[in-house]
Amino acid sequence: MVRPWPSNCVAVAIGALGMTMPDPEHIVMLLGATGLGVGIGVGAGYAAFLSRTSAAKIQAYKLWDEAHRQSTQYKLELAVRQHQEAMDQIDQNARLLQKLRDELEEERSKSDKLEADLVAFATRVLTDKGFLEPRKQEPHES
Amino acid sequence: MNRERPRVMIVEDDEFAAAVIARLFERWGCDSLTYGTLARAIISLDIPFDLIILDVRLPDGDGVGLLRAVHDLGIDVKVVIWSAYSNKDRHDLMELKPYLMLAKPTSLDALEALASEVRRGFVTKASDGS
Repeated sequence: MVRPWPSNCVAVAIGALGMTMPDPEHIVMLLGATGLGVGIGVGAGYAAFLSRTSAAKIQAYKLWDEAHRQSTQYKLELAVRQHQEAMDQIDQNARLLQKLRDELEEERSKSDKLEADLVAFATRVLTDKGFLEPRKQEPHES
Repeated sequence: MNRERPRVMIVEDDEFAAAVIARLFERWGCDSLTYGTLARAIISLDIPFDLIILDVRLPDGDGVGLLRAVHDLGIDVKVVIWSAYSNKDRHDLMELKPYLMLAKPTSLDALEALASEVRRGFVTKASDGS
């Protein structure tokens, strides 16, 4: 009776195994090595899968980001943000300008008072020298 | 006078007095230049002035020399004689018709009134014919 060839192959393989590795320890070692190999293969495959997934995610994010940057909404948001920054800068400059104006006004006030004092002093000297008549009130701005 | 502020020449050999008077006129709305000698004042007559305040006794000559230069050259400027001495009897000076004679010591009010007149372009005096 002729058996189908897979059955023959299995029979041959069992026979060969029986002839070459009859020792059960060898069978355990073979099974362990096979398991280890399968484990490494599965782990490497999973790692590759994860890696590809991560790269795909990054690529997808880049594409989304690029598309977002090209979108009208993004440009609008950017324009609004730049406008707000410009307004903040204007406010800051206005505050600085006001501060400088206040300082200038203060300095001008001091300077005017000093000048008035100096002119009053000088006119007293001129009066003493006989150039001007004595005056009850000091000169003031016309 | 087309300038925003009238220009005043102050001829006075006392530097302190000249500086103070110049400053007063500036406070009263005029620009002012000071000259300590007759020569410096005369050679500066090419600058258009609206008023000259002139001390008669100067280190290098008599102030009448400047008044004569103004008269002879036909320069359109009012000259005020500002002197500590009486010049009423000086016919040479009076012939040149200074705009005004001010005696030292002078009141500040008189000087301020002068500044006011020059700012107005002597309109009041001119209309009075004086």
